[in-house]
Amino acid sequence: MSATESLEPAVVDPAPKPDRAAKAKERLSSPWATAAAIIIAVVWTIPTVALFMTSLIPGDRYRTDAWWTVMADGGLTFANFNQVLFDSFGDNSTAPPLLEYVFNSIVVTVPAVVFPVVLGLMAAYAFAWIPFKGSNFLFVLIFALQVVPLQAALIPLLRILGPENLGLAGEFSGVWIAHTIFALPLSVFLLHNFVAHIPREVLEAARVDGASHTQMFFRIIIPLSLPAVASLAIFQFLWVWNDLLVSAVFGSANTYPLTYPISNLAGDYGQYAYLVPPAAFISMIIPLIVFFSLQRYFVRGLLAGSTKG
Amino acid sequence: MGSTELLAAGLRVPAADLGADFWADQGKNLLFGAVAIVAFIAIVALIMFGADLIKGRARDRVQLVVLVAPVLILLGIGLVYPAIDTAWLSFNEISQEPDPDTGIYTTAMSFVGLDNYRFAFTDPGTLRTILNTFVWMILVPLLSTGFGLAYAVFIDKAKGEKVLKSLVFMPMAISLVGASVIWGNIMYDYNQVGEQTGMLNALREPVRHGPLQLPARQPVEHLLAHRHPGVDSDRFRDGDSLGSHQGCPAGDERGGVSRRRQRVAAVLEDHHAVDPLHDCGGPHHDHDHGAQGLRHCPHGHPGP
Repeated sequence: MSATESLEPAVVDPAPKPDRAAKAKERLSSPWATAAAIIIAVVWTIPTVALFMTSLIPGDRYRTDAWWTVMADGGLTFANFNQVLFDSFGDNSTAPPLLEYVFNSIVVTVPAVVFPVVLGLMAAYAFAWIPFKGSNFLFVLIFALQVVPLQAALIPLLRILGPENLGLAGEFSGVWIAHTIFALPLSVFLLHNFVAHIPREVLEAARVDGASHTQMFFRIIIPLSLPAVASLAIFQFLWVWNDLLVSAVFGSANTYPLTYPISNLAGDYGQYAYLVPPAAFISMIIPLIVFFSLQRYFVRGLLAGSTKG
Repeated sequence: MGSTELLAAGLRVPAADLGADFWADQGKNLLFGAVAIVAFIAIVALIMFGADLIKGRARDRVQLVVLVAPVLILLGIGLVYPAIDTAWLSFNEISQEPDPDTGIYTTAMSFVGLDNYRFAFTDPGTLRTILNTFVWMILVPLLSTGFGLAYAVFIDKAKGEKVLKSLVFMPMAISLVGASVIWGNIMYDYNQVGEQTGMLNALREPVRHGPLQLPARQPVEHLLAHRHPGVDSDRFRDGDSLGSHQGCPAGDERGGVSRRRQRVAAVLEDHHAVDPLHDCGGPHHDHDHGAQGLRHCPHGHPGP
């Protein structure tokens, strides 16, 4: 309400600019709003902090004591992290350590980010700047494919990748292909929106100079669309790193990512339940680092589909 | 000697425990991933520059095909064909029957028309999941948009916008598996005896005694039971209304407990001592008895 009120004097009273801006700023930033925003932010952060604190509870107290009790008597320890990462994680002491799954997650994720981004950028350029018959129809079709739930594609695609046909299911390459395919519609769509807003003059000038599509793609499209590529890459990274379903269906014991062993034990009331919180926290660290270090691009990516330029 | 041993134990390099095999395997996998990326980019670049060598009018057309074909082929194989195949499979029944001559079990697929759909729309379990989906589809966007809008208004007027915004965005980086650990094992956790280790129950305890089995209070069940009286079993309305009408304060908590949850609770009783609250119907594993139990529930708070 006060937002609309504060706009009025700005319109009526043509005061000098810096003064007006300062006034507006002062009116807009109300202490109550700040307090409310801080409270919401804190409430949103509590679960993550609670997970970290719970992961520091020693195993023999996990069942009976809450983390604040353990913290009060100084019993918190990093031993769980050591055990989970390097010793064993699972429902018995011979289960493989989580470090193995960390590596699997990396090997699954990085190529599964690169492939759809590269292929998507190629197609995005073609759909945005090369006029051809059926271009619009195909683009709309690809856009519409986002509607197909990937669950509907699991079984038929598994048959294609399975031992009867390509024999890639259970290998890293099978998981990469599945992730790439499922990412393509969004990849083409997001990048198309960005590529289409590259100034026409730039591309026309290159065209007049005799540049081919290949040259334009490498010399103009790739350098100019790097911000969109970065934001899409972050999205895709988070999606693949956090994915369970695709990796569980198309992977095998050799390729399962971090989410797989954790999901097997989550909600379990077994002897090793205290290992689940540290494992879950480990699975979050890398995406959180990626998120906080590349936030700028992330926000830009959120806007990429909605606004011009 | 003792001190050096202690030092050695403290400096124990965990990597050493994992063994050479472990590192060889992981190194091989990482190398495979790196090689795959390099090979992929090299192949794409080679094909594109190869298409650039073509002279004349065909060049543009070939390059267009090179740009678009990979995406179209992959989507055709991985989404279009599967969507059609899944739709076709949904009209068929796959059965394993012994061959009349040889007796060997063979997989046979037969067209059954709309039978599978008839099953889906009459089977109570499936029907329930469809209704659940609709309820979530309406509730979740409403709630998240509401919170989001409110937060956007606050944050717009708040100082330190960047930090606050990134804190609220942060859960986007957390996997659903991680979130389920957070909420299932930590936030919603409840103990029937002793200190509450679940954060929400711990916060609630000073106010009201007795832990709340939060995930068991399924809002969907409540909604459906009230809005669509015919949809699900009466166990729900039974438990709910009896609980509140007959003055058993725990009733509204117990009554909403689904059958599956009760089984979980029954299993848990092996680990925890029986809670006095459980006299309200918990130990009866079958819900019909559970509802009966509610009727005999003593008035007043069974509390501490």
